[in-house]
Amino acid sequence: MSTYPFVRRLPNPSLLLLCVAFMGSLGMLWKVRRIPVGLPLVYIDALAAIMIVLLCAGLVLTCLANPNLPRSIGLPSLALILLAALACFSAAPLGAALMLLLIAVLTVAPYIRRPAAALPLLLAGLAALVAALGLTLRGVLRYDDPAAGAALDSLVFWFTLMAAVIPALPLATSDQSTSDSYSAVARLLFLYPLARLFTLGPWNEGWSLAAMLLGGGVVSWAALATLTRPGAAARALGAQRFFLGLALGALGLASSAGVAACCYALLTYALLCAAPVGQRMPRWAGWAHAGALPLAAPFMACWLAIGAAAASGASVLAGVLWLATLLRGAALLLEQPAEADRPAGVVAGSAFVAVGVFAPPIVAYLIQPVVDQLQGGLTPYGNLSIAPWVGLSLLDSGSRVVTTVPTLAASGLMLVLVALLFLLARLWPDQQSSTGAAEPGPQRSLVITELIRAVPWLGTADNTKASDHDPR
Amino acid sequence: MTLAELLALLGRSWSLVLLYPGGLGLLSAVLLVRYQDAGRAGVGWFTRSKLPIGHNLPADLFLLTAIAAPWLGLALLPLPFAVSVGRSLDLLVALALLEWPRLLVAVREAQSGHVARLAALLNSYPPLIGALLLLAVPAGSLDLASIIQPPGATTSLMQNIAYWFGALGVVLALPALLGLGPFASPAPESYGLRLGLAVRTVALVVLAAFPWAGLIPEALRWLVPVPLIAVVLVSKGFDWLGRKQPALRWAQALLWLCALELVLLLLAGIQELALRLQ
Repeated sequence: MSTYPFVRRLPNPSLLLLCVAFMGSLGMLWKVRRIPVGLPLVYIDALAAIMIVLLCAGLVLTCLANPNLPRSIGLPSLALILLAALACFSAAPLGAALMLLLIAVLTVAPYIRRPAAALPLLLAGLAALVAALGLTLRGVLRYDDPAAGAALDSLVFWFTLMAAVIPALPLATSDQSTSDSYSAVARLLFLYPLARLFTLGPWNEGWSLAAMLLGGGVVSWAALATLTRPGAAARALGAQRFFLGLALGALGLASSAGVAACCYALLTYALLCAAPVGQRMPRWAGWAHAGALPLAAPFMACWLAIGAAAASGASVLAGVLWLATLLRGAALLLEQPAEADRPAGVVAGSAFVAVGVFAPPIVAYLIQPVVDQLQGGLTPYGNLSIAPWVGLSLLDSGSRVVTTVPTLAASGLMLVLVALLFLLARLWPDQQSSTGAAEPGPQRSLVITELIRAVPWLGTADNTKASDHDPR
Repeated sequence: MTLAELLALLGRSWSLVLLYPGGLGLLSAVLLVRYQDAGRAGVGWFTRSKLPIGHNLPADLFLLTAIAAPWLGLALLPLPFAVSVGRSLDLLVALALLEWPRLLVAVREAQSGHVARLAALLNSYPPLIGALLLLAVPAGSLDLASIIQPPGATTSLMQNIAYWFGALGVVLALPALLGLGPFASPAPESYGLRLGLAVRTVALVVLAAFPWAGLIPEALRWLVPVPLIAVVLVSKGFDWLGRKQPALRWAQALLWLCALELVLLLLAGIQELALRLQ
C-alpha cells in the first residue's frame, strides 16, 4: 500500500463526502461574492459562505492528516457542516443562535460527564442565544433588515462578544486527541455572530476597544500557556487558541484590514486543528507550525493582524501581538523532538506553506468579498492592497503603505539563493556541520525554569541567575 | 501586477542580491566571521594559515536557509544608493528573515539545555519591538522605506520625540540582540551557521544606523557611513564595558527601557486618537 496519505485515504467515503462539501462551499462563496442571496428564511453572503469554507477546509485536512480517524466520522462531520450551514445561512439571528447552541451541545457531548470541559462551549452557545433574543425582542427578525442597526446596543454586543471569547480561551479542560482536534474546528463558528454585527451597522469605539483588549488578552494567555503548561496536549491547545484570539483582536479593529486578518487567522486555526500535537512532524513542518518560518500560514496570519493593528493606529496592540507571536514560536520550538508522525506532519506542513505563500490570491478571491460586503459597518482605518502575483500590502486611512510583503517574489528569490548556496555546498561541503536534530537535552520543564529565571518579563521575581545565562 | 512583471522584478533583483547591498553585506559577514575566528584562535586575523579549517558550507538544505534568509533580508533593505525594484519589505518580514539563523541556533542550544542565547533573544525583543513601533509613529507605517525618513517640519513634537527615542531604543537594544557583553554566547560549530549569524549582525547594525543616516543633508551623502561606524563603536564599547556585569541586571534595564517606550507609545496613541476625534 502506498505511504502517501492522500492515496491511502482515497477510498475513504468520508473524505470524498467532505471534499464534495468543501467544493460546494467554495462554489457557494463564488456565487455570492458580489451580491448576497436573500430569501424568506435565508440570507447567504460572503461571510456566511466563508465560515462554511473554513469549517470544511479544517475537516478535510483533519481527515487527510489523521490516518487513524474512524471511517464512520463522515456522518457526524456532515451533520456538523449541515448545522453550521443552517446557522450561517439563517436570516434570523434567533435561528443562527439556536443552531450554534445545538452545535455546542453536540460538540461537548463526549465530555458531558466532565462539566469543566463541557461548560465553556455551552456557555458560549447560551450567550449567543441571549444576544439573539435581545435583537429579536427589539424587532430584528432578519440580519439584512435596514432598521436592524437601531436595535444593536451594548447588551447585545457584550453577549455576542462573550460568545466569541469563551471558546477562544485556552482552558486546559480535556485531553487533546484526534477526535478533539476534529471537533475543535467547530469553535471557529462562534466568531460568526460577532462578525455578523457589522452587517447591522458600525460599532462604537468602546465595543472595538473591548474586543481588542479581550483579543490581545486571549493571545497573550495562549502564548504563555504554550510556554508554561506542563502537558504537550495543553500546550498544543494554547498554540491553537492563539489564532482564535488573534482573529478576535483583529475583528475588534473594525477595519477592512482587520476583517481580512480575522478571516485569515481563522483559516490558519482550521489548518492547525489538523496538525499533530507537539513536535511529531518533520523539522520544516514544525518550524512552519511555530510561525518562525517566514511566509508560512501562521507567520502570515500574525503579520496580517499586526499590520492591521498598526494601520488602525493601535500600536500597543500591534506590539502585544508581535511579542506574543515570538513567545508562541519559541515555546513550540522548545518542544523536544519526538518521533515524527510523518504523513500528518507532511500534510499539515504543506498546507501551512501553500496557504502562506499563496496568501495574496487567497485574500483576493476568498476574503476580499467578505470585506466588501461588510464595508458598511467598517471604519476606513486599515485597507488592503493586493497584487495577486507579488504580495500583499496594508494601507492606512490616507492610503499610505503600512506593511508590505512580496510573498511570491520573496519566495522566488529565496529559492534562487538556497539553490545557489546548495551548489556551493556541493563544491565545499562542511564535514563538521550536524544535519540531524539537536542532542537530547534536559527535560523541557527544566529548560523553561531556567528561561524564566533569565528573562525578567516572563514573570519571575526571583533574582537567582540562570546557571548558564551568564557564567561570570 | 502580472506574472511577466513578477518575473521582471525577480530579474531586476540580481544586483541587489549579488552586488549591493546583498553582495557587499555577505562579503562583510565573511570578513566578520574571519575576525571572530581569529579572535577565538588567538591569532591576528591576517594570519590566514593559523586559522582553523572549517570554512565550508553545510550540505543540509535546512541549514543553508540560515545564510539565505538573512542574505535576502539584507539585500531587500532600501539602503541609500541601492537599486529600487518597486517593492520593499516591512519591519516584520525583514526581522523575521534576519532573525532566522539566530532562532535556529538558539532553539538547538535550548533543546540541549543551554538557554543563554534564547534568553538574550527574549530579553532583547520587548525593547526592540517598542523602539520599532516608536520609529513608525510619525510615518504611521512599518514599511522600511518610510521609516528611513526622519520626521518632517510638519510633524508634532510628540511624534519627533517618539521617532528619536525609537532610534535610540534600537541602538540600546542592539547589544542584547547581537549577543554582546553579558549576553555573549559561544559561536556555533558550523561555519554555515556562523556565517548566517554574521550576515544578520551586519544587517542589524545597518538597520540601527538607518534612522540616523536620515540626518545627513543631501549635499553630504558621502558621510552615510558615519552613523554606521558610530553604531559599531557604541556596540563594541558596550561589549567591552558589559563583559563583567551580570546579564540579569542588563535584562532588567532593558525592561525599564521597554516600559518607557510603552509610555511614549500610549502618549502618541492618545494624541492620534484626539486628532481623529476632532
